[in-house]
Amino acid sequence: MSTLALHLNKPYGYSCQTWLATDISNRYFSRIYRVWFATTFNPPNNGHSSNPVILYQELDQIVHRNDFNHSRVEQLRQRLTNWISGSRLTPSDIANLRAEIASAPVAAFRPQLWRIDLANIHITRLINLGQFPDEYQIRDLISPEFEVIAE
Amino acid sequence: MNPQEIYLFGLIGLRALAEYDLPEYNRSTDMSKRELERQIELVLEKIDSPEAESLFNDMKIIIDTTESPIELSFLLQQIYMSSSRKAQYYSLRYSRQQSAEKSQDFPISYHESRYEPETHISVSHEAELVRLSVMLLLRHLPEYTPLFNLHFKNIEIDCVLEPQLTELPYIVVEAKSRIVNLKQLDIATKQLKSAMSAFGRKTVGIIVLENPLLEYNREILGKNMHLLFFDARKNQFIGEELYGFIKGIRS
Repeated sequence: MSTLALHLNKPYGYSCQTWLATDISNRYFSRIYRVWFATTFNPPNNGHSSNPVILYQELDQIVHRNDFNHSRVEQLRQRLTNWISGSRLTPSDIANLRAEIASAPVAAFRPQLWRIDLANIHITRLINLGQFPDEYQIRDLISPEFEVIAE
Repeated sequence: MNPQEIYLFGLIGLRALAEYDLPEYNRSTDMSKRELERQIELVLEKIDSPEAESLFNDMKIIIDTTESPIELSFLLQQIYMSSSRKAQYYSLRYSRQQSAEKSQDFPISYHESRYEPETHISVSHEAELVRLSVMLLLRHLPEYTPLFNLHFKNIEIDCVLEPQLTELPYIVVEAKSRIVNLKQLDIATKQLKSAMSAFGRKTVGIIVLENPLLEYNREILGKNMHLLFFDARKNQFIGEELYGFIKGIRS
């Protein structure tokens, strides 16, 4: 029972990530991704921000309408900023990234749907976030462990 | 304001967040609350920032003295917002100042995806030994792409690591959970060598075993072959062979 697939009894995890978060991970964190996921595509008991399909639809519409005042965009900016603030980057990189996130256009929040192969992941890497019943986190995902299924 | 002070305001904001919204804090960072406080104190010792110090002390007083949870949450949100916005404002100023000094912009195109699609990995049901050990190997070898379950000469190869750079060798991986003696190891080695021949002379072979062999002698493997012991329970390789293998690939 060492893999997440066996532990959670689900073959895949699903997540919605923004292009900006992925790009920051590629440039500053050696392509190691800090991601949340749910074990179903449309988890009924999760909030909208932790539901891959609803978040994808929402962001897709926001980007198409260039809805720069949308609260979801503000929430994502804040989350990205918090992530950077608590990271091990240098203070100078953190300041520059904060500025980059603050001034990023809505298009930078275009969504990608990820499918994480849970058979590839050891259970010790699972973090249970505790707010919603089907919301987990992996803090060190690498590209062979997931597939982008929609963007 | 220098970057250290901006960083400090960001950390104080996170400390307030940790107190009133723990799930959101956990989404943001791996640091424990204690670690975060130590980091704040460390930066406070290094730099002189009466404003940040006062904000941090205010926050500690609020946490220690406020009795109503609703009031506590409200006050900490104010600290979080105040601290984060200050950090945000000074980050923008710092970044613009730097850009002006360097006279160059970030080479970012927000309208073009930088995501390079990875080679499609066709994964059938596979023993966890090969999956987990290969994923761990890839952390040391980011320039490789895994291809699982290839067929060659009537042999099913567990995994081939394909290099993205031509100067690097192919790596053929076989995971064996049931090898307990040298005879079985000898058979597995011959099979692997046969599979390796398809990928050129430089190809490196790896046999991943679940348990260390007691009578194992490195010389029986010959050149370009490695035996790695993988503890699936702890998700780690046992022994020093991994480092010899990585060194060989890099040289």
